Amino acid sequence: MSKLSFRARALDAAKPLPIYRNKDLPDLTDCVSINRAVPQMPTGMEKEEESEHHLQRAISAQQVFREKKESMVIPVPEAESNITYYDRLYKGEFRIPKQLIHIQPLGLDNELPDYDMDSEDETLLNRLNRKMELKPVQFEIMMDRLEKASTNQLVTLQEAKLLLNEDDYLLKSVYDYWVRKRKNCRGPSLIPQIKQEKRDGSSNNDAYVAFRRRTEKMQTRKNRKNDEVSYEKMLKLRREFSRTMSILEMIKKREKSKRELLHLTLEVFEKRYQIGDFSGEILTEVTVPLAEKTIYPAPISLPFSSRHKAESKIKSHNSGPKHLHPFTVKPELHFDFVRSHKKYNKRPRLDTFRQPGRLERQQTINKADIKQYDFHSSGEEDYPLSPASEPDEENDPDGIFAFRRKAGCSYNAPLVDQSCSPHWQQTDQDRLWQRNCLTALSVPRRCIAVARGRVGRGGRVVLDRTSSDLDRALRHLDPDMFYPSADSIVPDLPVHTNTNSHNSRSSPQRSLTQLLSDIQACRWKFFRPRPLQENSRGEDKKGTAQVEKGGATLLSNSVSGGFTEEQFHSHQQQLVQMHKQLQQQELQQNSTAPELHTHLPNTASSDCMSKTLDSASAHFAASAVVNTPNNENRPQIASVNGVLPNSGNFRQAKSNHSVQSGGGGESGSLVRMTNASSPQLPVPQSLPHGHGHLSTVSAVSPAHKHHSARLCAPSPSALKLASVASSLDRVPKVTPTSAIDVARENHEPERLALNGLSETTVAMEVT
Amino acid sequence: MADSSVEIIEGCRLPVLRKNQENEDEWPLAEILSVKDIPGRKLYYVHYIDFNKRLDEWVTPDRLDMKKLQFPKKEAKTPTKNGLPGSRPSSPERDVKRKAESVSLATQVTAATPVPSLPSSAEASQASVYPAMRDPSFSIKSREEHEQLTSLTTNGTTRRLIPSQPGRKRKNCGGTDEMVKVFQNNNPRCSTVFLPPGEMVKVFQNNNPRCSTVFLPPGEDSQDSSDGIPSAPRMTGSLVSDRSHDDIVTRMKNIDCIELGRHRLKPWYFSPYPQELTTLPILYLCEFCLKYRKSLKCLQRHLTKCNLRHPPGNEIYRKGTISFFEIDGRKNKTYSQNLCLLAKCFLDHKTLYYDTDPFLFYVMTEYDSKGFHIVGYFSKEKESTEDYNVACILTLPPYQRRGYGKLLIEFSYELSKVEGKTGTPEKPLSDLGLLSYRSYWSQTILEILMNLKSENGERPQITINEISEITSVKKEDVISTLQYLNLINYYKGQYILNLSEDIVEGHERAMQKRHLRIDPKCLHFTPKDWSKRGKW
Repeated sequence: MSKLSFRARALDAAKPLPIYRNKDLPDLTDCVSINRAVPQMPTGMEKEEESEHHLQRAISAQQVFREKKESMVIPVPEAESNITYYDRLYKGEFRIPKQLIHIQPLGLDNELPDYDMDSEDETLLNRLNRKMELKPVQFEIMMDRLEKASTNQLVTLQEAKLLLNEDDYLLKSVYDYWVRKRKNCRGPSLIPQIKQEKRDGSSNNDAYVAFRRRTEKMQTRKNRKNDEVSYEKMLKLRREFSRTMSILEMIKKREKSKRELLHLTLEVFEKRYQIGDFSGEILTEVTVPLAEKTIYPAPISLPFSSRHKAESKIKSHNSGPKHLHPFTVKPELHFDFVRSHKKYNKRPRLDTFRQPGRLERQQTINKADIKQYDFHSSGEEDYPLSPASEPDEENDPDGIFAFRRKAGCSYNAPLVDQSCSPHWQQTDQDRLWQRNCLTALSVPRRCIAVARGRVGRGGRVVLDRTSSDLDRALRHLDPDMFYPSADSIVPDLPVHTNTNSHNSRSSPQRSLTQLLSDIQACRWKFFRPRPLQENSRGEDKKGTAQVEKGGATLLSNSVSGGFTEEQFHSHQQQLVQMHKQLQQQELQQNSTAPELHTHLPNTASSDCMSKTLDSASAHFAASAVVNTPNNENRPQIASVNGVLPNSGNFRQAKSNHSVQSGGGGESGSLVRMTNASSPQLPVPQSLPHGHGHLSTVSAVSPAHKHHSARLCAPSPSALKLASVASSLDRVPKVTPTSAIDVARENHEPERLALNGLSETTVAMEVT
Repeated sequence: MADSSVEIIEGCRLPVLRKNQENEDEWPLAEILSVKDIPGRKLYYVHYIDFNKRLDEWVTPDRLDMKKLQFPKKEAKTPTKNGLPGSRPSSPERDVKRKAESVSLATQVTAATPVPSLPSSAEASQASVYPAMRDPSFSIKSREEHEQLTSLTTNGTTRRLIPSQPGRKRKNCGGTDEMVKVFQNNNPRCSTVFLPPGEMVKVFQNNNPRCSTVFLPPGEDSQDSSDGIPSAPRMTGSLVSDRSHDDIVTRMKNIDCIELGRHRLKPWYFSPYPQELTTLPILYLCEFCLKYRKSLKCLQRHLTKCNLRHPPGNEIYRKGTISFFEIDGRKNKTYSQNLCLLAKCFLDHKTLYYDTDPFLFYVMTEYDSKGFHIVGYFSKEKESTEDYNVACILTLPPYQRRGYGKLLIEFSYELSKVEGKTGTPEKPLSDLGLLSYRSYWSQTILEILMNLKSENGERPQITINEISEITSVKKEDVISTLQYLNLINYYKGQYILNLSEDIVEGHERAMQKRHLRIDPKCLHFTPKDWSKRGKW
């Protein structure tokens, strides 16, 4: 049989191999040569070692003899096993336990010193033992501590004193001995230790450095998704621990006070006994002037506990009575408002309006309360830099409505002055009431104090009344005479009294107001006449609105006989806006497919155009713009309702205001942009009044796009905007008019407006 | 015998007298690795070429055959005067330096001219034996430092910090952060390259091994470019397969003697015990916690405080006097490290570069009235990416050749059986490891083959996969064993397993000698899923 006539198939590990004995195969020799078809497996040894003399000899010996011969084994250095002192060294016996040995996870060997005495130490010890008794272990503990306390630098005698707490003679002699020994020592420590790696990596190639940390492997590459979550959990844990710390601290204080009280009581008792005050006469005599003071034992813990209570309330979303809290006037961020507004549409039931106030309050609490133990790491609390690691989600009373920082967005601090305040009069209430405004009814012509409106289920408008200290006073006030107190001294934070859910706390007097608000809530139309009145007052209002500053607004309103017109307006506007948006949604779904088409690409283009403007902020900007038409539309609705609208002037005021207030937030600037660019629109007046948000959005988006694209040439782009707007057929008509009015009134040249536009556009890009 | 007129330096080769196992004189060629001057005479550390490093020893001059002395060549693959292994591609400045040195040092023979006294074939084989370090990054500075050191120390065995350790960087390790870390490892070779950050990452990611070529003089091809990777050794496993770690420090035994319980062990290889302890004649180890002490007195003191009488882990197997303890390298760091230090004395390729966290240690003990005495151990990765079921395995020398090694191996496969996996020992195997494993595999497989009964008159048959499943021995190891035993034959168009008489007889004889067996019933072991536990 020719050896190379055929090629053997590869050995298949899954194929059965029949087993033969040699005797079964007399003709096997023929086949042996093909054996090489089986792939040669590597031995797994290093090549150069494989060739080592002794190994080869051993292998060949095995091949030949099928067993090891004594002379053929690989020689190794000898080992002895005849240590005679073994039994003396390892004393005692160890009984084998019946069960398998199971070791406890925590060893106790930490208490014993690592340092072991050598014979040199023993001589010292013997010497010392002549004067005092010193056990070897004591000595070892001393050496161990000295050794472990010193790094490259030896511990000083002073430090050693603190460290060892022994008597001076012993300390001195051991210390001196240790210093000497340490100096003679060749190694870095008297307790020989494996060389540690150095952080700078200089020890990477030191053969004596062993057991380096595997830093690379420590990365949680696999579980990157979990990283943020676990980070948040860690933050939360830390916060809760710090809270626990403060609680314990307080408990400690309390218990101390208790003990003190006990001691004092004892002392009093003893004194009384000494004096012989068995009837208690002297005691009462003494305690009467102190009567007031006895109320005071709690003041230490009171503020703490109240804060804690408050926190827990916030945690549990309890909108019950708010504790006493001086609340700081803080201009509300405009975008907050808008955002919450947007959410408001989706979830009408939740009180989004109060959100920033709460947020703020919670922060104050946190700082005051936990400051002591809360170490602000990586700025997580004040300025959460990474969006996902927003700490403490569950504690956040605003839940999903909480303001979240967006990655890649930089937020400008709110400007306090008037020009940058939010463009609605809402500002004023916000400053004063957070989300609620003073509300008066027109039909029972009276003030129902503080309330706020929202759209309930099925589009119903719900007025949420809130109670305040002023309630009683306000109710009896004629709305025209209404005079709110200064903002900063509002003593109590409002409670939401949902008209639907009866508040058990409300007194009988409330039932009347509830009825009123019911009327309001169910029959919105009763409110209709109000705008008219306001509008009629709009002329003089305009003047004040422009002059007004900060919290003085209400005052000026009241002087002009003002029912807080602006508050009410904005309130209504919001409500109307709800309606509008609902309508708009319907519209969008039913009829305006083409509009949708125009809308979508526009926003898309604006999105991709300015990359810095991420989808969320675009959304957000859109919602900001959405507000604009609503504002202007409100009177129109009023006119639809049959009341003659004196809208022109009012609108003017509005737009004026918005121009002035623009620039504070993104939306503000957007609004301004719309207004500013509008003077160039060729056909503003002729366009129909009725327009929806969608069209506005689509009109604005291209505007934004163009302007950010070519800041240097604003006019053509504005023209483009105009053409786009006109082509859209549903151009924000009102905005142009008002803007023109603004331009005329303020005698502002177009250029200026356009400059302003470009500025704002830049601002947008920055975000 | 030594001719005092010629100075024997490191790197020289000459026949050295040694006794073989039959106690006969032999003159194998040896290489001088180090010279030390002790008052009165010189001692030479020699490595017998083609013999295992464990036989390296200090010899007196009278054992050297000076007549056949050959000096290291200029570009020799042998260590130079400073103990620099020469097989690395050298950088130009180093060459210059070395030339200057050799001129000044070698008086009689110019270092540049090779000594023609030895047959060239031997020369060639030597070259392959010592690939040694291929790290061209030796900076002049480190050499200077070294020279200072040399002048300080009396003996030639200088502890030089050699910045070689190129080790093996895991390939495809991906992420840039990791790369950056590698860079931070501060390998001298890499730190000389300056690349823009992005590019740097690219270089490191794509052709790691080639990185070294940047530094090589043209035309000089490092034959194992993977060795040239300037980074720490791979993070998995516990053995180093390349010899890049063989700087002169690690090539030499540093501990003379270790006392462990009743035994005095002569270490075979370098172990990174604290350097100050390497000068001691005897290093004393606590038999149970394996802590190292410098003197018997210290050990005595230690024993008054150490009440351990067994390895500090859970006993997972006990039959007769043999027990196995499982020790978590992360939870019981001190013991694991001490065990590794001891084991390194007998394992050449073991690396102690990284911590013991990803390993479990299975310590085999033999019980007597004093306690559970360590006999041997094997370590095992908690998660092995390459089906390794053993990382390092060692029977302590006093217990060798008594079947304990096979017992350890058997136990490791029993664990694999419980885990339902096949496994293989981590490579490279040592000579003794190869013999032991081959012997275990042979016996295990033959046991199965011979016990196969023919069903309904047909010839018994079995697949390799089946063998692998039954034994938990990895398929490749089964094949290599069958091949080694010459069992696989091609007969009439198919592969068969052919058991020859001598194999059967040899097996039967061997099995009679094999008393120590693992009883699976005595094993109380539940494997843990370490991947779900996060970090080991």
